Amino acid sequence: MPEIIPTLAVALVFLTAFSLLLFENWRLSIGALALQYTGAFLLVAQSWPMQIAVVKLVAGWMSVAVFGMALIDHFQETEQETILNLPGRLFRTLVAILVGLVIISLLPDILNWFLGATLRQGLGGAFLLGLGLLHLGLSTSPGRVIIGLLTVISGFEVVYAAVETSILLTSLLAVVNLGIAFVGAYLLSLSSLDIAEEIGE
Amino acid sequence: MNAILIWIFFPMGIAGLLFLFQSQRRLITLIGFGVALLLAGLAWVFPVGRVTRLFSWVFEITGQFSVYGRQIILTPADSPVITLLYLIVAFWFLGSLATEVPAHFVPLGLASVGIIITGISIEPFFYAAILFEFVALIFVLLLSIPGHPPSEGVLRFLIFQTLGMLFILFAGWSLSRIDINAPDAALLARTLVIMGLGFSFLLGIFPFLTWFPMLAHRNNIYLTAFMFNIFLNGVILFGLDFLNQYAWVSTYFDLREVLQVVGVFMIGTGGLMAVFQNNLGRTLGYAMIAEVGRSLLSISLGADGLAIYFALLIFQVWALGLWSLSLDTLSARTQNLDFRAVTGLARELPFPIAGILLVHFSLAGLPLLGAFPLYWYLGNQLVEQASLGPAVWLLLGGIGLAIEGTRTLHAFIIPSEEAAELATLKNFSIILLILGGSALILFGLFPQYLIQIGNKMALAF
Repeated sequence: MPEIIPTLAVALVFLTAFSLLLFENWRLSIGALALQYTGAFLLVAQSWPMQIAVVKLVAGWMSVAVFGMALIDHFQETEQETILNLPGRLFRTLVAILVGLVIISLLPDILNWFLGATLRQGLGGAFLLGLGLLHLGLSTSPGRVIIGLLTVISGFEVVYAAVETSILLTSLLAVVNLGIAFVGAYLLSLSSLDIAEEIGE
Repeated sequence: MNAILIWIFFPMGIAGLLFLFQSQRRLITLIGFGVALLLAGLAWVFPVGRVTRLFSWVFEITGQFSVYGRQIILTPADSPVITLLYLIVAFWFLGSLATEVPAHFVPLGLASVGIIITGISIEPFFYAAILFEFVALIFVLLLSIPGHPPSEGVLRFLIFQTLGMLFILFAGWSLSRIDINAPDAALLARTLVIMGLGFSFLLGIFPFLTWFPMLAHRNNIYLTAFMFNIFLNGVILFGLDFLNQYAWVSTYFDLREVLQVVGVFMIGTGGLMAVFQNNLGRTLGYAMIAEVGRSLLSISLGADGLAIYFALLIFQVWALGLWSLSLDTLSARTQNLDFRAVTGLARELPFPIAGILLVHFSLAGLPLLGAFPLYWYLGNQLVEQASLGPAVWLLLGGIGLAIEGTRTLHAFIIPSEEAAELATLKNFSIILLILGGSALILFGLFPQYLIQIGNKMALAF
């Protein structure tokens, strides 16, 4: 793999995680999440054979598809979308920069903890973990929480791929991704489901 | 025959089938109840690994199953635990007939127990973290009732469980790098801290405990209590499995002291915060935090403590069942579990009110009630092992719950300004409430049977 690709992948995951944090437009969110999985795949492919690494990409895109469909339905039904104001965006930008700086300063430790991870894997994974956690800390709506969780898991998978190559673990983590996306889709559709149907009386 | 097929795949298959027939809620509840009882009975009569004769048929139930090179292993010592887990789930299924829980409760409940049993028997142990994430996802589905937006408690529960999974996965890999004969002290310490953080997220250990009261306040109280009971004890069994497999760790670090400090924090937080609650659901949440603390204190005592833990678990099943059934009955009539909404209801709804108070004071450790002899035994063991501080906190936690119990009693008996028209209770609910209440009193009178069962369960670890 050419040397430039992992570097571009790090830039891609940072930009997508940052845009997910900053913009709450659902079209942009779905697109950014799909691109984020592409970046994570490119980073994982540094440690794993392509045919196993591609599992991450396929499972990620499937998760995006499942969750994205629910997001589209949700916003078409409710017709409401929270739009962050300028101070809100500025605040998130500053905090994201702060998180980025902390990650860069902690990078030697991260590489020491995840022995075998390359510099770019460590940086990309840690960006996803940090910005994902920040996303979780700043969000209360189900859709945003699910996006935050998917981001955090992607980040973990990038650095974990460097140390663990078990096929069973890969497939289980892929199922976890899909499971979270399914649960997210269910949570988004909750208010439109009829309670009487579920009680079954 | 293979034990994994019987106690894991069979119930999950049945769960899948029952999921398709949700329009027949009562029927699938009874089938689920029957299947859970059958599996509990099978685990009791035909232990794993023992050659058994049934009429002229001689057979052995083997306990190993391989998936991609990883093993799911059930041993003869696991049979009592499997029996207990299926009995617990059968108990909750029966109680659900007196409530208005959604139809998917039984299939999801059955599937979750199957996954929990897989979790406590899989090797390497850290794969269980992912399985418990699946169980958490199941409980998120279960607790999110159609027609209502998901509560913040559910979302926080999901976040913490996912973070816990990641921490345990990383710690599990890190632990595999450590040489048992000459461990690197710094690496071992760091790994144990990460593992501890993982379990703290899963068990809602201080400061990650905010989801307890949030869930109990905003979600269906019966489902929440079921989740507390099954999920938290499943995680504790997973933790015991870890301590069992990595017993050598205790030669380098005093895990007993760590468990006691954490247990004291939980009992202190649960007991003291309960005093300030004005909602019966939130009180249950805080009481559960104290329960986790008591479980950790028991486990810190070693073999004797394990017997106390299992005895407390059996008591907890009845207590949570009775408490949540009473609260569910109440909230179905008042739509709200705030003190303001339940003022003066002691005359209108004596059975659920008596149930709530009985459990409340039992969990507080009032003499002659169910938990008192177990707390007494636990306290004695702590004092004998020179752990006076935790024993005092055990008492203080109980006092906190007793004060909140007195406030609850006051709210129930003061006359209400508005005379409310409340629907009468079903006979089935009354029977369950009377049976549950009687059992709590009997546990207090004959605690030796609980300890005997606890001793048998403790052999698994």
